[in-house]
Amino acid sequence: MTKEKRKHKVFMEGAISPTFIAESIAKHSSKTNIGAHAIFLGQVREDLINADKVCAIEYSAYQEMAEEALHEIREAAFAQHNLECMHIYHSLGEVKVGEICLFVFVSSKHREASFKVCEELVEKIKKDVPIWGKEILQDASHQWKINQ
Amino acid sequence: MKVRVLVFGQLKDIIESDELWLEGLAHSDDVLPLLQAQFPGIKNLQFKIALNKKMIQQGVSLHEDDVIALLPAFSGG
Repeated sequence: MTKEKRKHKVFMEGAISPTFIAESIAKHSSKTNIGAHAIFLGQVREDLINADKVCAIEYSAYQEMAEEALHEIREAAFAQHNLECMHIYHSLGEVKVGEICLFVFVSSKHREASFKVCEELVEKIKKDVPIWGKEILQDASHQWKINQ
Repeated sequence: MKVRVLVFGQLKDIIESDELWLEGLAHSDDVLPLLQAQFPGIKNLQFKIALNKKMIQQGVSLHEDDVIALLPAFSGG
């Protein structure tokens, strides 16, 4: 079976809808080599900053560089692990508290590879991909997100 | 030498623009002093510099229409 290695659309305007995620899962029913899916969903958290609540995160990216970085991350993961399929989606623009901003979906024959790669991808996306989150507070002020 | 400078993250709050053009630069090491003179507020911020979408680890010569990006710590996800 040909593994998916072409460039994929990563950035989506606004939140990633649960319907989109459900449909992405459903599309894999015809890929019968797959025995394991690992999924990570990043959700915007209602942090408290100086007694003011975060109500949304506004994401921006150096899109061309980010797409190249993600392409390299994908290629390396496919080269190093026995994977069947991989999808990464990240929001741009405003995502409200409780909504999904990151969807990482890794599929393999057996669970070990998908679990491992899913976690590695999330860490690399946070560390190596030029994306920034601006936390919008209830009083309309903002602060730039710092990844833990 | 004219180079395009892309501004990201919290640097946009200080520089108050997504993009600017700098003239008279021959080397990547010249970028920071010029920017700091123009925008003193950026001295307090740590950021990396990419040249034509690649991180630069050491100084390099610049060419006409090169694209420099000022990249504060990433915070995606």
